[in-house]
Amino acid sequence: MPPIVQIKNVTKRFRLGEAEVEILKGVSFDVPPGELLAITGPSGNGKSTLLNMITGIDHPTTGEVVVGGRAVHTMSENQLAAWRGENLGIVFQFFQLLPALNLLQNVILPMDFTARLSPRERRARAWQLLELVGLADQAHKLPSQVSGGQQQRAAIARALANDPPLVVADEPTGNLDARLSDEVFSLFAHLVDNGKTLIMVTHNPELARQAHRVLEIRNGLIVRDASPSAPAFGLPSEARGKG
Amino acid sequence: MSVLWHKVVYDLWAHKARTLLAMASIAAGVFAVGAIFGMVDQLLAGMDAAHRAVAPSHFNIILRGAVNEAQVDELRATPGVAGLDPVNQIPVRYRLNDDDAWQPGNLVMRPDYDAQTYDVVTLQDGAWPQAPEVGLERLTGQFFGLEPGESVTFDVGGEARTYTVGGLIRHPFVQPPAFGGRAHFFADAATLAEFGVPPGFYVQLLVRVEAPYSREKAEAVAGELRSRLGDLNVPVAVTIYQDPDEHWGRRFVEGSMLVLQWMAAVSLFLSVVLVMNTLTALITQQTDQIGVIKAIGGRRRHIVAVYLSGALVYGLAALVIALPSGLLTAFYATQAFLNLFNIDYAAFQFSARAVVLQVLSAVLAPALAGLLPVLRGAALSVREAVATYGLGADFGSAPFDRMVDRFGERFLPTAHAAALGNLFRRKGRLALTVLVLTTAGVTFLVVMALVASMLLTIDNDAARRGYDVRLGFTTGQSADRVDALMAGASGVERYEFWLSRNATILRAGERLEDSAGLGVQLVGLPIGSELYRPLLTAGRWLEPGDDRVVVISQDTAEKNRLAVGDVITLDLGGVPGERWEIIGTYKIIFGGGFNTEEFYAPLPAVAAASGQAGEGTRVMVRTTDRTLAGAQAVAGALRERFEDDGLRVDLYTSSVTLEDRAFTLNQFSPVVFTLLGLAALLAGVGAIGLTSALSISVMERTREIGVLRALGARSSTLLSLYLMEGVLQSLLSWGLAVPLAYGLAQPLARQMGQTMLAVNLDYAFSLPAVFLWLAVTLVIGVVASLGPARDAARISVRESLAYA
Repeated sequence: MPPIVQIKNVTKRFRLGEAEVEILKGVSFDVPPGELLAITGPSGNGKSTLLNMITGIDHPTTGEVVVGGRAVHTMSENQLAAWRGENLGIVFQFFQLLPALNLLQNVILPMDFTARLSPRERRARAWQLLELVGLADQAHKLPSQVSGGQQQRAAIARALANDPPLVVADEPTGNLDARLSDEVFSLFAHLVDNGKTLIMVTHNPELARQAHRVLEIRNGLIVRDASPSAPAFGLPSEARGKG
Repeated sequence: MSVLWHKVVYDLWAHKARTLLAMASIAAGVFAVGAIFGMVDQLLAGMDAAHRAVAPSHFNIILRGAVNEAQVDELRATPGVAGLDPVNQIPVRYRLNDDDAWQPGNLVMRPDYDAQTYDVVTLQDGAWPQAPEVGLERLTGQFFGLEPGESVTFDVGGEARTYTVGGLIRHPFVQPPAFGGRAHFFADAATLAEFGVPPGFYVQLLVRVEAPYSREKAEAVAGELRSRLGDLNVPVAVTIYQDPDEHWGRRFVEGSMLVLQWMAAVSLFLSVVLVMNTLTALITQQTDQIGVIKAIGGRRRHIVAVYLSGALVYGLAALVIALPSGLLTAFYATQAFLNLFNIDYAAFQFSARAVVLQVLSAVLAPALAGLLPVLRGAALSVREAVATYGLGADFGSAPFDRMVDRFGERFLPTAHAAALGNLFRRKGRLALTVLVLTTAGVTFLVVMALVASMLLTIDNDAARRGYDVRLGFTTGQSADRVDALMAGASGVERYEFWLSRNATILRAGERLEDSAGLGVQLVGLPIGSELYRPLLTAGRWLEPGDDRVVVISQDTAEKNRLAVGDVITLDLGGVPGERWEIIGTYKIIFGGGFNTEEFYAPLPAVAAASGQAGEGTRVMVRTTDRTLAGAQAVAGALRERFEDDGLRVDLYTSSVTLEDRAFTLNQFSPVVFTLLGLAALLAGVGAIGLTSALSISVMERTREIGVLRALGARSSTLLSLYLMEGVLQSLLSWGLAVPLAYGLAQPLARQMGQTMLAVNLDYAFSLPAVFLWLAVTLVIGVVASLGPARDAARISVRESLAYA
C-alpha cells in the first residue's frame, strides 16, 4: 500500500527580525498506513513545525508534503479546512476544546462541518466516541468543568469524530501525569490496532519507546529513524554514528 | 452548523457586560436615527398639514386706514382675486389684575366666525366671542394662565373696562408669547366698535389669487390691489405673503432639521465604530478558537456566520430598546415643537420612514461594523491562529513605542509603565475609542461656539443700538409736542425723534425686491446719532452735509445688484418719488421672519421728501437705568404719558431692547437644546466606548493581572492602573478635540447660524466650554474605568493563571 504520508525534501525557513532561521533542513520520510510514529527531539528543533507541515497548518518553504495522496502543500486555507475535516484528526497539546460547547457538542462539531451524517447520527456517534474514551457521564459538562485528562480524552474523541484515517497529536500527554499519559497512550494503541495511522510529537521517551517507529529531529534534520525494538535504538546518537 | 449556534448564545450570555455595552452602543445610534428622522418627518408634515387646514391666504394686506363693505366688494372684483376675506386686528392695552401695568396685546375680529374663508381661527373651548364676552387665544391663555370664565381688563379710550373670557380660540399665525409674541384676544363687531372700529369697516384683507398659485402672480395681484386702495385713499402698511402649501415656520425648521439629521448619522457612525472595536477585540481574544475550528474542518463561511450572527443579535436587541424609545421621543419632541407653533398634535403617530431606517440601521450597522474584523478573523490561517513556535511577536520596536516605554520607565511605577505601554500598543483600538470621544468633544465645543456666537451677535447688535426703549406712533407726530412731553419724563438719559415711512424701491421705473419681500421702511435719523449705527459692509455712514443719500441692507443690494454709488428711487406713497444715492450697505443680523427691512437716511431729507417736516414716528430713548426692569419702567411711564396726552402709541413698532434680546434667545433655545442633547448622546456613546475598551483590556490582560497579584499588587494598584488608562484616553481625546473644534467651529457655527437660524453670526469660541468639556471627559474617564477596574481587582491568581 502507498504511504499515507510522504515528506519529500521539506525545508522551512522563518524570518526573525533581520535574520532568517531555517527550522527544517531538507527532511524526507514516509509513513505507511497503520503505523504509530513518534517524533522526538529537543525543543525548538522543528518537531511541531514538521507536524504542522503534515496537517497543512503550515506550508514548506521548499519540498512536498503528500498526505493521503493529496499534495497538502498546494492547497488553499479553505481547501485545507475541508480536507482536514474529512481526512485528519488533530489532538492539540492544550486540548483546544471550544469553551462555549460541552464535551458532547465539541465532539459533534467536526461532524457538523462535513455534514455526512444526519444530526441524529452525529449525536449517536458522539455518544459512542465519548463512551470509547470513558467520558459518557461527563458529556454535558463544559471543558472548564472537567480535568485536564478528561479534556484530552474528549479532544481525542473529537479527533475521531469523522473517522479519519490519520490522527496527528502534538504533545498529547504534555500536560498530563504518568497515569493519565498511559491511559491516553492506550487509547492511541487501540486506534492503531483498529487501522488508524497515528503520528505524535512527544518529549516523553517512555511514550516514544511504545511507538512502532521513532523519528528524532535535531537542528532541523532527522538524526534517527528507527523502530524502538531495533538493537541500536537505545544507544546514544554519537555511538550510533560511530557504530 | 447546529452546535456552533450554542457558541453564539454562550458568547453573548457569558460576557454580559460586553454584550450590553455593544447593544447600548448600537441602541444609541439607532435611537438617534429614529428620534431625529421621525421628528423631521412628523414635524414638517404636521406643520404643513396644519397650515393647509386653515385655508391660508396667499397674502395679507395690512392697511393704515380702513375699508368698508362696499369697498371690499369692489376690491373682490380685482382681476386675479379668487377670494377676499376682510378682517380686523388692532393693538390694545390690557391687564389681568387691577394693580398690573397695561400690557400690549392684539384684538382680532372676524365678521362671521362661523363662516370664515381664509386663515381660519378655530374654537377650542367655550363659545365664539359675543358681546360682552371676548375670546382668548390658546397660547395666550397657556402663557398667562388665563382661562375661559376669567376676566381681562382693556383700556378702551382711556377707560378701563372688564370683559369675561367666553371661549378659547386657536389662531394659526400668532408668534408664541415666549418668543415675544403679544397676547391675542377675539371680539365680535359690537365689542370692537367700543374700541373705535365701526361695524362694517376693516383694516386687513386676506386674499387668495386664482389658480394656479405662484408667488409672482400673488405679487402682481397684490400690487394691483395696492394701487386700487391708493385710488380709494386707503394707504397700505405692509403686505405679507405666504405659501399656501408650506407652513410659514418651515424654513426656520428645515435648516435645523438638516443639521440634526447629520448629527444622528454621526451618532450611528460612532456606534458602528464602537461595535467594530468590540468585535475586533472579541475575535482577537478568540483567535485560537478560530484556528481550532478551521483545524477540525470549519471553513471561512462558518467563522463568518458565527461572528456576524453574534453582531446581528447585538443589533436586534438594540432595536428592541431603541425602536420604541426613538418613536416615542420623535412623537413627543414633534408635539413640543408643534405646540410652539400653536399646532395640536395629540394622537400618537410615527414615521414609517423612521421605522425602516431604524430597522436597517440596527441590522446593517453591526453587520458593517463586524464585517472587517470578522473577515480578517476568518482569513486567519490555522498557523497564525494556533501554532506556537516559540518565536515571540515583535513588541515595542517602533520609535513611538520606544518613546512611550522610556517615558513610562522614567516617570511611572513599573506596573503603570506596563499599562501605559499596553495602551499604546493597541493603536487601532485606542484610535477608535479616542475617535468617538473626540467626536463628542468637537460636537459639544462647536455647539457651545454656536451659542457663544449667538450671544456675542445679540450683544454686538445691542451695543450698536444705543437705545433701550423704542416707542412708535401710528401716525406722524409733532416733534415739538413730543419734546414737550419728553422734557418732564424721568429716567431718560437722552432721546432722539426719528421719522419713518414705508417705501417701495424703484430703479429706472422698475420695482425692486427687498430681501424679505415685505417692503422697506425709510428711516430718517439725525446725522451723528448716538443711538444707532448698523454694521457697515461697504461705503460709509451718514455724515454732515448729506442730503438725499441712503444706507441699504447688503442683502437687498446683492439681490438687486446694487452697489455704493448707485441711485435708486424711493416711492413713499402719496408723494412724488425721489432719487437717493446709495452711500453704504449694512449687514442685517436677524433677518427673515416678518420684519420689514430698514433703509437709513438723514432725518431732514426724509422729512422733506415725505412732506413731514417737524414730525416724527418713533422716539428712541436711552434710559438712565439700563437694566431690563429700568427700561421697562421707563417704557411704561412714557407710553402712559403719551397716551394721556392723546398720542396713540403703536405697539407693533414699540419695544424694549433687552426684552427683544430675551425673546430672540427664546426662539433659538429649542434648537440649541436639541443640539446639546445630541452632543450629550454622543458623550454617552463615548463613555460606552471607553468602558467597552477598558473591559476588553481587562479580559485580555487577565493573566498579566494574575501575575501582578501573585507579585503583591493590591486592588488599589489595579484600580489606579485602569483609572490611569481611562483618564489618559479621556485627556487624549480632549487634547485632540480642542484644536479640531477651534479650527472647525468658526465655519460650522457660521453655516449653522445661517442654515438653522437665518442669522449672520459674529464668531466667538467659548473658552469656558473647553474647561467644562475637560471636566466632563475626566468624569467619563473615571466613571468608565470603575467597572473594569473593579472586575480586574476581583480576578483571582488561580483563575487568571488557568485562563486560556
